[in-house]
Amino acid sequence: MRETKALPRERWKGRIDRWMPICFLACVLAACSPTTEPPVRLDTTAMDTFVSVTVFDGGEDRAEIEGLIRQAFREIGRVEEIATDYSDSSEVGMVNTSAGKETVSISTEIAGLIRESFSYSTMSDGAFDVTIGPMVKKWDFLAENPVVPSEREIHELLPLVNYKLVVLSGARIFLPLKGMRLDLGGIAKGYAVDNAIHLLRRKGLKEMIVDIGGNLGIYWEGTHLLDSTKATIYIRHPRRDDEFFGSFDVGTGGVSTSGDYQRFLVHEGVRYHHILDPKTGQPVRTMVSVTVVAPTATMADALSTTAFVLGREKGMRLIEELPEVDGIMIFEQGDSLGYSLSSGLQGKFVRSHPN
Amino acid sequence: MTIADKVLLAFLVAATFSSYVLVERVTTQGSVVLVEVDGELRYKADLQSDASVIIQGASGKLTLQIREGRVSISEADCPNHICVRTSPKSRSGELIVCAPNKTMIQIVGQTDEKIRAVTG
Repeated sequence: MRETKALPRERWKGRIDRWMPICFLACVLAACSPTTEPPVRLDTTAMDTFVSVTVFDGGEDRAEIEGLIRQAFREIGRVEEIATDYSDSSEVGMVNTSAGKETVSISTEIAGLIRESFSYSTMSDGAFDVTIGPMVKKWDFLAENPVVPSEREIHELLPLVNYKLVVLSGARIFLPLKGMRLDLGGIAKGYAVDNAIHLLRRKGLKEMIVDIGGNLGIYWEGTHLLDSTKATIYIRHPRRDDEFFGSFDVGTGGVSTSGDYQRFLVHEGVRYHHILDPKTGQPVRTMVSVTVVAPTATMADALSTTAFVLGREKGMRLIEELPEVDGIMIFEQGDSLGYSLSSGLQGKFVRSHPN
Repeated sequence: MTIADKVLLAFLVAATFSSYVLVERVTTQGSVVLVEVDGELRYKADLQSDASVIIQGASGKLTLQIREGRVSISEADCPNHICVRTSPKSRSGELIVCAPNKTMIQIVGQTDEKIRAVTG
């Protein structure tokens, strides 16, 4: 008898219930506080998650800022349209349906994003791999009732997962084996965040946070990475819905978290989560959560997954080797959670203590 | 799930998102003690570190006590001792005043506006 259960939806309901008092409190406190110019914030959903853009520039026309935020939403929607692998008509979809058949012309933009993803593959010896597509499709964590694939099914798909097989020349791409699939899910949200930030900056805005499902882009003119205390980033507690694990301050840069609690299913008491090792096709067992701070959200997005798959030693070594990149790794330690910090976050990360 | 459930859920989701990034302008527990004599800053201390300090006021001395995040005046060379009878203070914005000594003890909080965002 299989006892497979899809938990994310239950989890969201629980989370919403727990957040309600906080929302209420926030509204009350906001109403009590002295009113200087409040930030302009709009929310939407895209890329299978929630999206929010908050602009803190004061003194501008608020309606105009709202218009600019809507432009940023359209840009995020555009990135989703070209990068999604759920639609056969998207650029990535067309590449996938032509796998094993023919070479496809793609935009220089998508070609560039694929090349950037290969650079993370190269620096991690394949721990990050956008050809993970067949595995992601097999596990299908977004399904109504996801099931654990058999060893044999995964074994059969393993030869299809290898970025080195991809033939990419200029803006022409060929996936040589039938069944190969690109999945830009480990980098596209970060890329969309960066594009939204660039758009708002080009329009003259100077202070903003773009949030696509916890992939954050923070921009404060005149600040750099961890050198400012203007924005405090809270890391969600991997095991307690209503708590934060810790926080740190950022001025400008990208922040992204890969966690085993974000998308998962539980089968016979074992948690199977969505961060798959390209070499085994199985969820990575050694890590709970990795948060990365980097100069761009694209880097942060890709590197949080890369470091998660690489594990504690190798992952932290990669984070330390890369200039202007820092990270927090959370892992199981007996019955509780332990964590390690890269050198740039030592003395800056503040562990949250439950009240 | 009925339609009513969905409407409720949509409302709750909207309410949740609306609190994700918020500006904290809330001052609660104070963090710093400032002592001014005749309008001049004489002493500044961390509210979280216990201390006992003698302050030279305009007409006499006062002894300032910081214990477990609370400030009080334990002794003062003044006729009325109003400041000594004032209950210990811990919250941002609270004051202890010793008028004869022209001394004002003020608690301030983190005054920086903090922007919050959540990852994970």
